[in-house]
Amino acid sequence: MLVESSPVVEVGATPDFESYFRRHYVRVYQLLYRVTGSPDDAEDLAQEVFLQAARRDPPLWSDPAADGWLWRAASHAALNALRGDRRRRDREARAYREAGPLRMLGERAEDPAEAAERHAQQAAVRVALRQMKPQESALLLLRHAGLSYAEVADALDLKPSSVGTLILRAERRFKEIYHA
Amino acid sequence: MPDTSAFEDARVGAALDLLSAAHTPDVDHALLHQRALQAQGRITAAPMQPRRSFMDRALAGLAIWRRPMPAIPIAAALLITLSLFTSPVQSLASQFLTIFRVQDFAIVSIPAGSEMSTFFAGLPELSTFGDMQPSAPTHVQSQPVADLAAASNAVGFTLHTPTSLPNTVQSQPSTIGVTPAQSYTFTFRLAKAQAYLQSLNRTDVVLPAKFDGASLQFNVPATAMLTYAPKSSEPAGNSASNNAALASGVVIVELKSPSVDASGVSYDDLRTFLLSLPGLPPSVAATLKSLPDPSSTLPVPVPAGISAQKTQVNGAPAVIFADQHSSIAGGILWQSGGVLYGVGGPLNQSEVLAVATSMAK
Repeated sequence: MLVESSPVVEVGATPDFESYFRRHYVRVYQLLYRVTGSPDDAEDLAQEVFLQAARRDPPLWSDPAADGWLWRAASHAALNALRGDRRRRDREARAYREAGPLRMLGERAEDPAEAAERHAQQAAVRVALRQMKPQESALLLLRHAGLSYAEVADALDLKPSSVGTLILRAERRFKEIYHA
Repeated sequence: MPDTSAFEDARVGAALDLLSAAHTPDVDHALLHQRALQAQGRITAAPMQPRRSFMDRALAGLAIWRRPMPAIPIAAALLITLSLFTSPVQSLASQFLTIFRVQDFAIVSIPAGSEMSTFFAGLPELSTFGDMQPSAPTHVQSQPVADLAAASNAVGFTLHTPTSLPNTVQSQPSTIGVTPAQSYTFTFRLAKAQAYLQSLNRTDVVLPAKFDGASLQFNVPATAMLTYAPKSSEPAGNSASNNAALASGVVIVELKSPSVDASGVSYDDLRTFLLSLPGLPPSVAATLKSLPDPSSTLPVPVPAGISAQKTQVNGAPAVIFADQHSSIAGGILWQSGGVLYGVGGPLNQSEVLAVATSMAK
């Protein structure tokens, strides 16, 4: 509310950063939304990932290994969010309840029974992801975010040739827990 | 787009799809927010930033009443007015409905490490979306008046003065000033707003045609400011020494509740539209959405380093502030009978409350 006359320092406002941000933001946000279920938390975490990126020296967008770094940071943020402690999950649930009715303007109203059912299913998926080994959930989340085997390998420091096998193993593990 | 063929078993992809958002995030908004965050980091990291005095910061929350509206970013206007107007308070004129009047407060914490200016950095100004009257910033200054009676006359109600003050300050006000009433009208101009949004490539933002010409009037009534100088210093006689008195004296501010009137547009439409614009930090938007009664709740921004909590002054809703660094400076803001009162100075919490309580009698 306070308006001060101090100059606004424009950093990270170069076209390079902007195009880099525009190219990746939606997918990073969507990945983090899947693990948090909260638009606000997803945005906060995504902003933090890009903030870290902007602080890197040399700047991330001029670095050829940049995408791998970004996805590594994004998957770390996602895994931390998944493994967040009980208190954090309570806070998320509360935030969801409070912001729920208004959280997405234009989001269509839905039947409360359907909404409850959907939330229960979502919770089951997140529980399964949480119970898996971190690398296994990261493999599934990154692959689901649309990354190629090579990109997944780059992000998680794996041999590209082993990614297919590892994803297959993660899928099996997920199904065991999810259907258990 | 993730597709289920990413996995050998399509059911795995389908299960993960359950978690996917039905919405697409607002990238322009996110980019502005990211720039603000980066600017914050830069400013916070700057060495030897002089720490602003408590009174500067404590009064900063009130500064909006004294500032010319054209200088205020859209978020500031949003904070006061455009949150969630659900219940018009009363009809002021035939077309104008009073949509906001202070009855209660909500504390809006500004994240640690950010000054308020950088918190809102990157937000478009209200004038981007229409015309502001007066269009040029007006310099509104407190004018000294002869006595309390003259000040009461100027503000339109009988000023309350404390019967209890710490013995470090004089028992009578050393300066009595009145800031004249101000009124600013914002008129929405469709063409201007469209041009701005097009410059952002925001062709997706829907601009309801009925907004064209709709207006908001911000009214800030005349404000009295009483300064009780420390006993050891000379009575402050001009504005320069007024600032010195601010640093160690007790300052009392009284004004009728500011209000906002609207014409030609429904609150819901306006709120929906404004909250859809890029640039509003999500935490601020969330606070605005959660205000219990937005037509009468004044959001009070509280920067890091100051603690704030809701309390009461003789039953009236109040917010009490303390400087976490010195722990000897404090302030309070309350509303009673349609009047907004503020007290600040080198006071601890119980002294602040004692001064306020003695005024409310």
